Amino acid sequence: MNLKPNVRIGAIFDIRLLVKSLAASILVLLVSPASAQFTVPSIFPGGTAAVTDNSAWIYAEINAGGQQATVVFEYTTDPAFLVGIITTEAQFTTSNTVTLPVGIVISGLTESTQYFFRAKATNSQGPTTIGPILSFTSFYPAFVIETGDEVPGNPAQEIDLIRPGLLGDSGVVSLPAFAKRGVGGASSLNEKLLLSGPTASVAVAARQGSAFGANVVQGVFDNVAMNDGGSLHFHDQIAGAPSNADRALFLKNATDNIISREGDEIAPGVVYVDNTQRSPVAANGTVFFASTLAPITLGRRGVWFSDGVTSGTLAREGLLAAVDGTVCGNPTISSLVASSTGAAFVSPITGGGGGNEAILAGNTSGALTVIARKQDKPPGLNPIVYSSFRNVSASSDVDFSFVADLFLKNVVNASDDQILMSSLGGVQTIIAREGGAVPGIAGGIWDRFERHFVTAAGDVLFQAFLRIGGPVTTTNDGVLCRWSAGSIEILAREGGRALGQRTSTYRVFTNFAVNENGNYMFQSSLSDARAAIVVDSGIGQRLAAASGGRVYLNRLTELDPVIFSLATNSNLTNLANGTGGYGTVIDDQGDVFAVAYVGAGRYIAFVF
Amino acid sequence: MNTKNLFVALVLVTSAFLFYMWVPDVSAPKGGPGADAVIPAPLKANATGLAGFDSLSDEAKVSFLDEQKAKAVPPVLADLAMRAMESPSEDVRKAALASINQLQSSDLLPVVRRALADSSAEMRLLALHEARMKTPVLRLNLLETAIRSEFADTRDGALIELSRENPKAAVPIMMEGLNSPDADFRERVWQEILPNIQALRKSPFTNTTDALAWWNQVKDRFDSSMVLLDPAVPPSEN
Repeated sequence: MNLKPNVRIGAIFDIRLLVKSLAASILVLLVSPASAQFTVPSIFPGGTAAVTDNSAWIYAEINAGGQQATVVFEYTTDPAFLVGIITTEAQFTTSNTVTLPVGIVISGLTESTQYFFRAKATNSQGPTTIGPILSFTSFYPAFVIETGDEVPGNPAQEIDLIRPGLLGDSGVVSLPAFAKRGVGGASSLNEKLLLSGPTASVAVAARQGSAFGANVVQGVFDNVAMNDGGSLHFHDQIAGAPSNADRALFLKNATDNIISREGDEIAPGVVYVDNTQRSPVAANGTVFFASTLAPITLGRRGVWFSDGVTSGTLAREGLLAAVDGTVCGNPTISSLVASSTGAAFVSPITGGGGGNEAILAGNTSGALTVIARKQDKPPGLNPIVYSSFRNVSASSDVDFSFVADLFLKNVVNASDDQILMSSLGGVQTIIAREGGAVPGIAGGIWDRFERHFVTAAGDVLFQAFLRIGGPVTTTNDGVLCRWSAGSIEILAREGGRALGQRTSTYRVFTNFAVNENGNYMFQSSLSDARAAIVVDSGIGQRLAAASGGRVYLNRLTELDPVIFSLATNSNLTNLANGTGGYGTVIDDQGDVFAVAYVGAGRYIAFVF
Repeated sequence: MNTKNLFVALVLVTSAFLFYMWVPDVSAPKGGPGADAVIPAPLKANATGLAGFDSLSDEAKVSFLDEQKAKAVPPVLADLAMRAMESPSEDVRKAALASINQLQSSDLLPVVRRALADSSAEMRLLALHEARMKTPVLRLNLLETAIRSEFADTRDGALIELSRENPKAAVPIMMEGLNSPDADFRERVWQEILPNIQALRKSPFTNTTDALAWWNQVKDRFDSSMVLLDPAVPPSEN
């Protein structure tokens, strides 16, 4: 094994910047008073990019302290940093006083191994500064499928377009794709595919115009969701069925079942009439689905569940919902989320402790629980009350986060009426309120709250916008945050320097997803008209992929292709989507599923 | 406590007990778990129902709207909210807007549009807030209305909201702002559009029609984050 580092000049090295910086440094020396103070370099956490089985770009954020600093990186597989330490060749900073990334490519790594690295920097001012220890694991992205591959199970046909899909905790992916028309009999009548399986061996789970169990599906593949184990379900239409019995919720398993179908009887003479709506799945595989019954009026709308074997009612309009006498109204379907074993949703209510709207939650075992109720007073805000609930996120049957509107005549107004709350084990806490100060951002005021995710540990990760005004403009108003132990950390901010970039900034966060462990990914467009995916799987942020970078395929037959564009699935990571079990783009190990466009009509699906 | 107060308290407690025993419990299900409970009938979509609404006091209208939010089906609720939006009372109009805040269907569009054009700045702000809580299709539809508003605050609010949207979806709607009579606003619109399209175009458009015509020619060259898919193809200024 070759342990000698194969060092290349850092990818961020730019001779023009160096010349500019040197010129600026000379100017500073000429005009500075003799008492100008220099300091030892400061080192801040950096990260990694372009990680493969045997190489990685590692970097640290370094402030040179006003004088050129010498930087070396040390890396080892020893977490205690005692043995097997390899030191890279020296890198040199400019004499800046601005914190910038300094990095180097290291190679000769052992595959699938966790490495630890740190930077050391020194200038003439004093002792060497040693940076924090960071970590990464060497690996190649798991290739899934690409344009031009055979359609699984049909060697005569070719994959054409590929869409981003879902990633389950067991390493199973699912993704929509198209067969290339005119090749091997593929046409507009059978081109739509739903692929699923382990990354190395995806198969056709369903196909337009083909049998799925006892029925032929039309290939709509709507509301596709997957549980932690990789079990897949989706809404579709049954070809050739009458219009009052053609829509159904399908479950992919050994026999390709139907969970519920329009026209199925739920009771003698009472049938489902609508099977097209949101249907999240809990981590344990229970699918919750909203539907409507006919020909009744009372109790005709609700949420039902099925684990593939048994089914039942979670909530039904007009029926007792909670043990305190609360009766459920028509659940707000867009708010329905799943958790580890149950589901939560916003609903009109009557009875119980008052108020006509509430967040309700429950599982297959019994009555619903009222998580928060209109007219309740958020802690510490008495006499202000909740006036409405917008959405909810659930990580278990007892831990939630939600966004609500507040009301108190002549006290609460449109500029301070939205609030982000946690409800952990029945205890509500204010996370942030519209109009309140944003911690750590001078002049920052919360304007509104977008996606939020409560984790298994009770942290809440959320996307928010700051109010425009003063230092906040449309270029820096978006933030991604983590609320933990009562304090808020800004994970990333639009307008902030993008991870590992010298000048490019985050422009718009176009996707944000969180797993139940609190690992997260976000996708952002950058100020230099590229796009990047950043992942934090618990060991710090890493630049997982960026347009202009490469997809590392580990092939001998071609150079790793350059990424033109990246796509991740955001359809199912809906507003306030529950983290547990509802398939998203990041699994519980922190791996992310993306599709890269590499030009010339070629798409590559991979997990990294 | 003196004897008189004790007597009054006794009468009140007795009355409350008798009232409790007499009033049927509409919130608890009859016939065991799962049995249907009695829910008051929702408002019917007929002229009598809406006319009856007009005769209510403002306070009663607010209560009625809050009550119907939980009961009326979306089209009926939207009709009622539209009727309430004509009220001179801002409280009633606010209640009308609040009554449709759980809807995620196109029924809500006329109500929010009406609120976006309200003479009250507070109502217009509430309407923008309502718009941004909707699904992307509805939200962008409403922001398109807002960016054409005659009110500067609503136009500005719409532009801010659009800057937070998926860039590719937002660009053509931002272009609607290029027809604004407010030159300063047109410039701000252009400054929001420019970073998205500068790979292909750097000179400003003079009106919405030209901008949209250009956009329709080039939009397929961008991905959803406005990253150019084919950077080798020359820019298109025209």
